[in-house]
Amino acid sequence: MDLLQLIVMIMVGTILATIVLAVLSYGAFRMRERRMPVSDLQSMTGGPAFFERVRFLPTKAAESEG
Amino acid sequence: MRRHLKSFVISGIVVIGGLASMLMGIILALQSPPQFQNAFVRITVYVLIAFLGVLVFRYITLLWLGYLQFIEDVADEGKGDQLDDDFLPPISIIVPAYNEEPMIQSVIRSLLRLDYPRYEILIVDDGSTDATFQRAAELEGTVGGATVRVVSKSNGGKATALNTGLSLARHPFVLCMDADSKLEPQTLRRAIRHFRDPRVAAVAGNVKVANRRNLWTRFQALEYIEGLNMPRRAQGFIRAVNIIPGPCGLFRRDVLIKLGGYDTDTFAEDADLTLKLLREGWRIEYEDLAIAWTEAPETLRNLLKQRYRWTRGILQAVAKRADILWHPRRSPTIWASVTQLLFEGVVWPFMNVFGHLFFAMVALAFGAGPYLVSWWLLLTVLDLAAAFYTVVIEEEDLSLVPLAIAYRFVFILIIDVAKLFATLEQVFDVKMSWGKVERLGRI
Repeated sequence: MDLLQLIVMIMVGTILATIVLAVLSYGAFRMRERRMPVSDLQSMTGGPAFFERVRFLPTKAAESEG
Repeated sequence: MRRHLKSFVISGIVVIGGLASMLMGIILALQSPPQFQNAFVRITVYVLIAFLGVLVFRYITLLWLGYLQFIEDVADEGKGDQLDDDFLPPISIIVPAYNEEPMIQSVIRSLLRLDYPRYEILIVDDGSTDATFQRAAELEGTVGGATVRVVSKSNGGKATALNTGLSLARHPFVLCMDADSKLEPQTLRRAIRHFRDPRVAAVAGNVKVANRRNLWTRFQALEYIEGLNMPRRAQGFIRAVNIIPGPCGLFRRDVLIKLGGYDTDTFAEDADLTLKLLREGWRIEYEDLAIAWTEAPETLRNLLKQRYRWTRGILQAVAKRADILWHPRRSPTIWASVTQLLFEGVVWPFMNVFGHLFFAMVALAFGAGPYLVSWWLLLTVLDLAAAFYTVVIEEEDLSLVPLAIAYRFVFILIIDVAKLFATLEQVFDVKMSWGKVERLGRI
């Protein structure tokens, strides 16, 4: 086997192995994410806590009450 | 559950279908007459050259614009030092923190060492379940020109914590950062000078990886310098940075308040806010010397978790303001910047993964290995040159440069596979969670 062929084999092997590793890692990551329990807040509200909008500016009504 | 199953099936069909049609094409070409096989190999070589051409175009454009920005910075530095002291308005630093107990005190201590006459550090505890609030509250008070304030709110996500900070901030400029990051002492001083221009609403800082402990984090250190900061420097020249990084972004507070602060409907609040500012016609600049050190994921799992969230978040943000893409004449620079964001986030990962697979299969099936090796050599020379240039320009660690040899064929390929699947999941609207990366308290 000459040097060029060896380099080709290493390159092709690296590319294929990397893609297979990446796909498997991604699959494992998503499976683990799915098994994780939802947070207490999420289970209480029935939806993802992140999307709950918080209004931070005081309204006029609240100001007059204060 | 049925909807998720359906999404996964469709994603699988898209990926497997793409691979199968690629394989079928190669098998059909193998069974065809020799002259057709020769034509097939020739077309593959043209595709290889086109692939390389796209990369060369990307590098030349980014390096050229980045170099112009570098010259501008050097020129500003020459005339600006004595002017800097004239413009030092007070700044509020907002640090949203969720379960950051291991590092919150060291982050506050590092912020107290900033070289700036008057600023406040506002820690917003986002309903942590550990002792983040107690640890931070121990350092409340005033030291020299710096004041530390700690507030707590119920858990609502990073964007809501930043909004709380915005509403409670006392100063006209706010620096939003992450609790897993530390700032260099000169960061505020270097970033604030850009606000002499009233058209500038925000300045993006330079983020660097602090925990270069293993191969993953060293690859990320190179990626931050070459893959993230190089485009950001180029975008800085056209005043249209497309992502103000979470660890270091300085803003005009009144502009953010007027625009309603951070939206809470994406998973990349930094990208979303940046596009919101660009959409309104504000300028966003880049400051190379406003440096934030951040803790990068040390394991492949945490790295995938982070990139999955970034990809989906960016897609959500771009989808919200897709009109920018349809109106290039409104502002060509903003259009170019957002198009680049979409290209690097979605189009390029597809091209990269399928391109590599295709070229590898053609090399195996037709013995076109020498072309593949030439292509790899050219790409590697290009990557090494870009890595060397960017590492030198940032006065960074030269030992990162050799990593460029394996950067594209290993690291970027893994990241691009994750981006590809995350894009498909976003297209098919698969449910996702925030996916907080574990903090190890390394910085």
